Amino acid sequence: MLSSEITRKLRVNNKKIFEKAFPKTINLYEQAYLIKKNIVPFQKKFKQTPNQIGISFDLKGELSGRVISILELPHFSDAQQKLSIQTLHMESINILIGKFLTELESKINIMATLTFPKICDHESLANSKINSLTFEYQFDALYYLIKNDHQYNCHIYLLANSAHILEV
Amino acid sequence: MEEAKQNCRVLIVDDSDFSRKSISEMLNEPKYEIIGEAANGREAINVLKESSADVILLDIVMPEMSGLELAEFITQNFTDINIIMMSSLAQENIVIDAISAGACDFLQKPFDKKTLVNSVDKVFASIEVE
Repeated sequence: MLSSEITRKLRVNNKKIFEKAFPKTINLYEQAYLIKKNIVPFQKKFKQTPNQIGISFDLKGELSGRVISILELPHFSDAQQKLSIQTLHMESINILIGKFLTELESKINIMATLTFPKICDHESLANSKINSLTFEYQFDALYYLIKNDHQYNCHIYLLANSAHILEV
Repeated sequence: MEEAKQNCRVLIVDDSDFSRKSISEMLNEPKYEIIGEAANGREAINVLKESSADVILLDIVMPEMSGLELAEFITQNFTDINIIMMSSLAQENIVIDAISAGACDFLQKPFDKKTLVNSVDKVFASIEVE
């Protein structure tokens, strides 16, 4: 059985690998782009601004937890624009997390998948029991989603536990 | 006199409207005919009951009926159709599952036009040879 110090060092090292596994840029069929701005530790609070749209995916397998993505829309967005951006948002985050999980498997042999996305709003997030839980891996990744010269801020929260102690 | 080369009839199955439109645009060439689009397995089966397809581009993670389940159904019931699976996930066991379910090729999303066209052409050519 590993000592607590070795376990702690392994976890710190794995967190660095997690951060690096987030793709820097994604070209979405030449129609849109996702560009990474930064990654910070999750602050236990979902950033609240008006005109947000949110989606969540469950993680399954050797990583269990959730990915929540909150995109900020400009004030002028009408219902049609919102729907159009939401479909792009869902697919772009699906692709980003898929690439992230694929990279994780190649680097540290964690096998995890993600479920079909669900739409979530800020109220459901604020009331979710997820706020009371602590996760081994907690990240707040800020990306820019760019389409047709419009840029949208997108906070992607990754909250996960690993099934076993990971060894590099 | 040369026989007219048959164009490749393609069905796109993906729950993402954005993906379906992007893929359809990439295949907007005379050698391809998009016979339909479907957002899930049930819709895909309904399309196949009405129209013939040579190649199906099939997403794995979908609601109601997964791409793997649909692939197995197609392999058993529509033997002339070849399947190209698509997914944002490309771990080894995902690819193995896709091939085991009957896929002829696997594309990790996102892919560019050249990669998509090469895959569809390769799979279609293998049908013509048979």
